[in-house]
Amino acid sequence: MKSVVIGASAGLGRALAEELAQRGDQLFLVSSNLDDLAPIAADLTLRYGVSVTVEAADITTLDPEAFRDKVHAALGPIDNLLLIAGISLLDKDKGPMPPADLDRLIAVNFTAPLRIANVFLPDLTQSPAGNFIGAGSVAAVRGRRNNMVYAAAKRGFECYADSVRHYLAGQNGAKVQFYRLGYLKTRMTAGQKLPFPALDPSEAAKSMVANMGKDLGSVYLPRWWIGIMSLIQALPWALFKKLDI
Amino acid sequence: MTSRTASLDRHLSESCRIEKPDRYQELDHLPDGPIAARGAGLSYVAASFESHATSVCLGAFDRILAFDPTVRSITVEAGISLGKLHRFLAPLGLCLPVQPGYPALTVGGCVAADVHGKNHGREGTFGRHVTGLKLLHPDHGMVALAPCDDLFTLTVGGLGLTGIIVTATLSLIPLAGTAMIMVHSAVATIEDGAVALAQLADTSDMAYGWFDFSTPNHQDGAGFITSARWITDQTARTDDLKAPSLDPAQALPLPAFNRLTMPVINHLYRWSNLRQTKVRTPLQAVLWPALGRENYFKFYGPDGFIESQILMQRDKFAEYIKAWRLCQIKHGVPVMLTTLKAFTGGKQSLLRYDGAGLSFTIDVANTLSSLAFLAELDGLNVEFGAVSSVMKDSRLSMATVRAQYGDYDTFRERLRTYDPSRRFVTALSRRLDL
Ligand SMILES: Cc1cc2nc3c(=O)[nH]c(=O)nc-3n(C[C@H](O)[C@H](O)[C@H](O)COP(=O)(O)OP(=O)(O)OC[C@H]3O[C@@H](n4cnc5c(N)ncnc54)[C@H](O)[C@@H]3O)c2cc1C
Ligand SMILES: NC(=O)c1ccc[n+]([C@@H]2O[C@H](COP(=O)([O-])OP(=O)(O)OC[C@H]3O[C@@H](n4cnc5c(N)ncnc54)[C@H](OP(=O)(O)O)[C@@H]3O)[C@@H](O)[C@H]2O)c1
Repeated sequence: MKSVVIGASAGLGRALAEELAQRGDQLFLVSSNLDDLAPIAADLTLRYGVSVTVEAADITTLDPEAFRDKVHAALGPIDNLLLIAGISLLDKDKGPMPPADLDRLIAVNFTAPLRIANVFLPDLTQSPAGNFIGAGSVAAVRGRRNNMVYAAAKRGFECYADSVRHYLAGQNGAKVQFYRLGYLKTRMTAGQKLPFPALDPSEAAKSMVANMGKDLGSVYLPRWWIGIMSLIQALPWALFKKLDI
Repeated sequence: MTSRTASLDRHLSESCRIEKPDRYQELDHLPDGPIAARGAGLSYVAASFESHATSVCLGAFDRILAFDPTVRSITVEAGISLGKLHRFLAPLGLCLPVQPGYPALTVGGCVAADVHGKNHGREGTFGRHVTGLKLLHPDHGMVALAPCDDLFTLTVGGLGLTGIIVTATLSLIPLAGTAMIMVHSAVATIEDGAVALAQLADTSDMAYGWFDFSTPNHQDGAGFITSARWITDQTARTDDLKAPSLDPAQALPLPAFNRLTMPVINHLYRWSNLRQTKVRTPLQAVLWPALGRENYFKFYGPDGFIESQILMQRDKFAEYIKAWRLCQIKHGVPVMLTTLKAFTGGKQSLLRYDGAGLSFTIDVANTLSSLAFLAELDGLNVEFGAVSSVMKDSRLSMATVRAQYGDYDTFRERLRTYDPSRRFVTALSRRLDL
């Protein structure tokens, strides 16, 4: 299979690239720094004998059509699109924030994944065994005073993934798996005191790759977050507004 | 992130900052102030952290960058574990010439400690097989080093004090077999063991001795010698490498090794090894003898243990062991583990644990009587011209190390000349005033 991983240099994206290489996928990996992508490409090629092409680009500024053409030149039409890149600005994203930061949160977590997905929809329509995979967040399930913009962008992305699922189902195309991710042990959570256990990105990647081919729509990962988030959603407003979560 | 960090022997535990960068741009912006380079953090001594320093852990930098089977050379990022490398190399019929005994150990840690493996006579220490390094220092940037460079010599066995090793190019050798036939033969005394090891040094693929000094009386160290030879009877299996679970901070609430249990355990261990004198041992058990036996370290309890490892001239050993035994009897210290290995052909320099002779290792519980015993042994070791491994023994003082290592001052000066601000600091370097 031919897979594109957006945000493949670290954390969950890197772990997914490893899992996909292990099962023999041809890969096209994207993140902003070639210094990080080149070692991953060398490593995966040597260990798994797969072809790995890399593109160092800021996804907020890349030209989607030109990017799709590069991917096609390297792999031809793709089967799997994994939109994993994301950023959070935990310290700033609580109340008013500098407009540039707000724009960036929306661009990385919402606009860029949609712009990239948009150009690959024709490929995914043609690949019934393919997959559209998005990285969302439990943060987006109920708006809170922390992660205000991040959560909004992820919720928007989730809504788009629902639409893609509906669209592809009508075309007998690729399957959609959108993950409402709980905490992961990555740089994004490094140094934070977390109220719940964090999942190792390689464990998350294993589950996600095992789920490929399934028409899942939006799911929690790990699954036990469903309990916590159902509780949070069920909290009456009078109580919820008092919680600093 | 600040967390409590312990050496494997639990002799020292300090609260310190640990950074785990996973992108190259983070290495371009190393923390201000003192830094400690860190691999898997599994050293017996506190060699990769210090309370005022930020430990920079290279764990995410664990990729294979280049591999040339024709010249048997591999370039890796220094955070790669020996286990990951083994999983890649073994199916290709290759291996690292020197492998210390645990798969989670990193290449960076093995270079910085210039570790030894299974057959010192044949393969020497880890550093002998390093053909290139990339070293990062906040004041000097990233530099490529070859064995002819002074800084290379200072970095191999340099205890992580010259900077962060980011990549290493290593020579490989063909995997000599997929299993070993191990032959255990009983010896009545450790002196007999030393003689037997001398005879085996050139003829066997691996040899070591195990001795029982768990009862501090007039024990002679009855034990056994293991000599091993490679065989090939299947393809090298790499798939059943268990995920290592060695965490220095984990210990039983009370020590399971004590005066009563140690002799029983030692007796049973000796008996079980001599019950079946010829054993086929699979590759992974040969390479990683501690894998699956992590409880050994936990069983010393919260206060941990101390490993003393000394290298001494072969011809002085018989006389030394007499004095050593008297010292043990005087202090009444049971020794949980006693092993002997022959080192041949190496040359001692700087602070490396290398040279020719016998490598004599003991593990004792960290108690007041053990500390007094080991303190007296320090003097004996100096008297007999032995060197103590600074990477194993958490209590060695600067004075002892200086007295044992003729190059102590040279190492210290060369470090300062290269790095006047001495940015890389660890609890070990602080203790040894490096
Ligand atoms: C079960 C077990 C078995 C062992 N068997 C043997 C054996 O058979 N032979 C032997 O000689 N030793 C042996 N050791 C000791 C071990 O090989 C060394 O202590 C080794 O240095 C530990 O590697 P590490 O990755 O845990 O490094 P750490 O403990 O993290 O660091 C060790 C030293 O290396 C430096 N360092 C680590 N990474 C880098 C880097 N990237 N750049 C610069 N400096 C760095 C640190 O600053 C520190 O000084 C064993 C240890 C264990 C736990
Ligand atoms: N970590 C968590 O606890 C957690 C929880 C819920 C949801 N999530 C979501 O899970 C996904 C993965 O998170 P993670 O923790 O693995 O993050 P991470 O470790 O920070 O990795 C993020 C990846 O995205 C890339 N990326 C970010 N911005 C980019 C840009 N503008 N252009 C190109 N690449 C960019 C990064 O590459 P560069 O280094 O080159 O920028 C990196 O490869 C994200 O969408 C995140 O929002 C994470």
